[in-house]
Amino acid sequence: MMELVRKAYLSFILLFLYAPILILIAYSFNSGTYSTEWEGFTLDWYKSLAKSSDLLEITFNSFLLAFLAATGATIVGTAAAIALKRYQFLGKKAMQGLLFALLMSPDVVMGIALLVLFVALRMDLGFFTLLLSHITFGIPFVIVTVMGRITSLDENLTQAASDLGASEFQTLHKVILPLLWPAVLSGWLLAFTLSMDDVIISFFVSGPDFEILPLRIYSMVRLGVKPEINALCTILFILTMAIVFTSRKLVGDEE
Amino acid sequence: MNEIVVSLHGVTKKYGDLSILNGVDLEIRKGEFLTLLGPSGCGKTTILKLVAGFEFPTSGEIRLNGRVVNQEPPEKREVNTVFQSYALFPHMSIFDNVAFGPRLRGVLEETIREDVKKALEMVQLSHLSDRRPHQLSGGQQQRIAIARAVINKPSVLLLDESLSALDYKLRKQMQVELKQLQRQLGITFVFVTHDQEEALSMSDRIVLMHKGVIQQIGTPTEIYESPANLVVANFIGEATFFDSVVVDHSEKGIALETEGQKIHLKDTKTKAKPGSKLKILVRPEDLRVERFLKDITEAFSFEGVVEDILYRGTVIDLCIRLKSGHVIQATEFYNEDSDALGYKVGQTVFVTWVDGWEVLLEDA
Ligand SMILES: Nc1ncnc2c1ncn2[C@@H]1O[C@H](COP(=O)(O)OP(=O)(O)O)[C@@H](O)[C@H]1O
Ligand SMILES: [Mg+2]
Repeated sequence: MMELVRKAYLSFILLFLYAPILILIAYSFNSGTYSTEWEGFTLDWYKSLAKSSDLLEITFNSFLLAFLAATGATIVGTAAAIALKRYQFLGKKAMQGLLFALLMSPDVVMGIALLVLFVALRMDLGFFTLLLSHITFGIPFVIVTVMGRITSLDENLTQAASDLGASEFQTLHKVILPLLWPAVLSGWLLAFTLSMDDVIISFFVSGPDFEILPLRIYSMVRLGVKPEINALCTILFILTMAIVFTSRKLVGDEE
Repeated sequence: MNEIVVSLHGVTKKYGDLSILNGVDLEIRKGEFLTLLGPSGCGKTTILKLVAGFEFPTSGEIRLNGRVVNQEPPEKREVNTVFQSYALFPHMSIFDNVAFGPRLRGVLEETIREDVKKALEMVQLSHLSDRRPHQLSGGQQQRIAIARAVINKPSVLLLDESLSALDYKLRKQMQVELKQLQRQLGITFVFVTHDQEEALSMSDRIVLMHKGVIQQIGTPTEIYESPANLVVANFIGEATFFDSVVVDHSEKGIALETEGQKIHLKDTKTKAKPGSKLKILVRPEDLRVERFLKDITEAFSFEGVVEDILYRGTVIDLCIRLKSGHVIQATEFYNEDSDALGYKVGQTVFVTWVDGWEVLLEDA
C-alpha cells in the first residue's frame, strides 16, 4: 500500500514538473497555427526556423555568451573557492558572508546595480557588459559548488602531497584540481544554464548590437506565442538535456 | 649508533589559549622503533604534525638531522608520514601513488619503474600496481601507504595509529610485518598508538604521554616494570595498588603501614618522609596466593576471602576481599598437576609477594 502511494506521488511530481514541457514539445509538431487543438503532425515550424537566419544568429550569440561566461565564472569561482577553504586571509569571513548575500539577492537589484556601474564607467552596453554581468552572477554558484566538494575531500590528501615533497603549486596541480574536476564541471554547467536563460539581468545590461535568445523570445512572446518559438524551445530543451546527461556521465566515470 | 635524528627541546604547542603540548623534550635515535603511547587526545598526533611540518611549535626548538626546522614546510623535510586514513590519492593508480615522491624529485622514469617495483615487492603487492586505491582492502591500502613513504628513503617515518583501523587478526600480522620491515630498512620509525599491548610488543623505546606532557621514556620492560609514576602505572598493564603510610626508612629498607599491618620491604631507593603516603604497586601476576598460612615464605601476608574466580585459559583471576575491605585482583598460573583449580568462592586465603617485586609510587 505504502509502495503504491509512493509511486503515485512520484509520478504526480514528475508529471507536474514535466507536463508543461511535454505540451510545448507536442505543440511544436502541431500543424494548427493559433489553435490549442491538435490539427495534425508537421515539421513546418522547424523548417521555417531553419530559414530564419536572424534567429539562428541570435541562438549562436547566446551559446557563445554562455560558453564564455561559464568559463570565466568557473576560473574565478574555482580559484576563489580554493582560496576560501585553504588559506587564511584578512576579510575571509566577510567574503563568505557577502557570497551568500549575492546568491540570494534578487535579479532586478543585480541588473540595476550592474547597469548603474556600467553607465558610471561610461561603457557601451553590448557584448562586453553582458559577458561581465553573466560572469558576475555565475561566480557565486561556482564557488558554492566547488566549496562543497573541497569540504568533502580528506584534508590528509593535501598534507600527504606536501609530505611527499610537493610544493603548493604542485599540490594544486596534481592533487586538488584533479579531485575537484567533477565539481568544477558541475559549476561550469550551472553557470552555463544560468546564462542561457537569464532574462532579467540581461534586460538591463544588453544593447542593440548583440541580441540574445532569452530576450528575443521574451519580446516575441509579447506578440503572442508563435509555433516557431515552440520549436526553438524544444530544441533548447533537448540540447540542455544532452549536455546534462553527458556531463553526468563524465563525472560518474571519474568517481 | 646513538646518533640523534630528531630532537625536540622545550616544545610547546597552543591553539589559541588551549595548551596542547607542554615543554616536550625528546630525542629520537637513528634506526630505532619509537612509540608515542597515551590516551586519545594527549597530543601524540600533534607531535607527529610538528615533526612532519604540518604544524609549527608555539615555542621551543625542533631539530632534524641537526638543523633547526621549526618553520620549515613539510616538503623540505626528509620525513614521511603514513596517515591514519592512508590518504592514498584516489585519482591515481597504485603505481602512480608510489611514484609520486620520486617524480617530484625528478628521478628518471626508468629508475622510478625499478624503485616502485621494489617498493611494491617489499610490501608484497606488486601484482596490484594498476589498480585504483578504492579497489584495495584496508590492509592493502595500508601497505601501499607505507611503500609510498619509504620509497623516498626518509630519515624518519611517522606512522599515526596506522594499525588501529584494521581488524584484530590483520593488526597482529601487520605488527610483525611492520617490525620486520623496520629492521630490514633500518629507517627510524615513530609510531603512534593508544594500544599499550601494541606499544609493548613492537617498540625499542616507548614515550608515554598524558595531557600533553611526557611522563616516561624507556624500553617496554622499564615502562612495565618500573613505572615512573601513578599515571604510567595506571595506563600500562593491570595493577593492584595498596595504600600505605611510611613509618620509617633506613639503608636496610623501608617500613610501611598497609592493610592494618606494619611491613618491611628491602627497597632503599624511596626516600619518603615518615608519615607520607605511598602507593604500593604489584602486578596481579606477581601476587602469590596461598590457602594455608604455613605455605607463606615471605615475612608478611594479608588475609582475605575469595570473592570471584575467572578462568582465562592458562591462568585464573582471583578477586580477593582483604580484611580491610579492599578488593584486589591476583592472577595465578596453573598446570594440570597443581591444585590451583581448587580455589572456591568464600574460601579464606593469604596474599603476599616477593619482597622487591613491588614498585613504590608517591601518592599524588
Ligand atoms: N587544530 C586544532 N585546534 C584546536 N585544538 C586542536 C587542534 N588539533 C588538535 N587539537 C586538540 O589537541 C589535543 C591533542 O590532539 P591530538 O594530538 O590529535 O591527540 P592524540 O593524537 O593523542 O589523540 C586534543 O584535545 C585536540 O582536541
Ligand atoms: Mg591522534
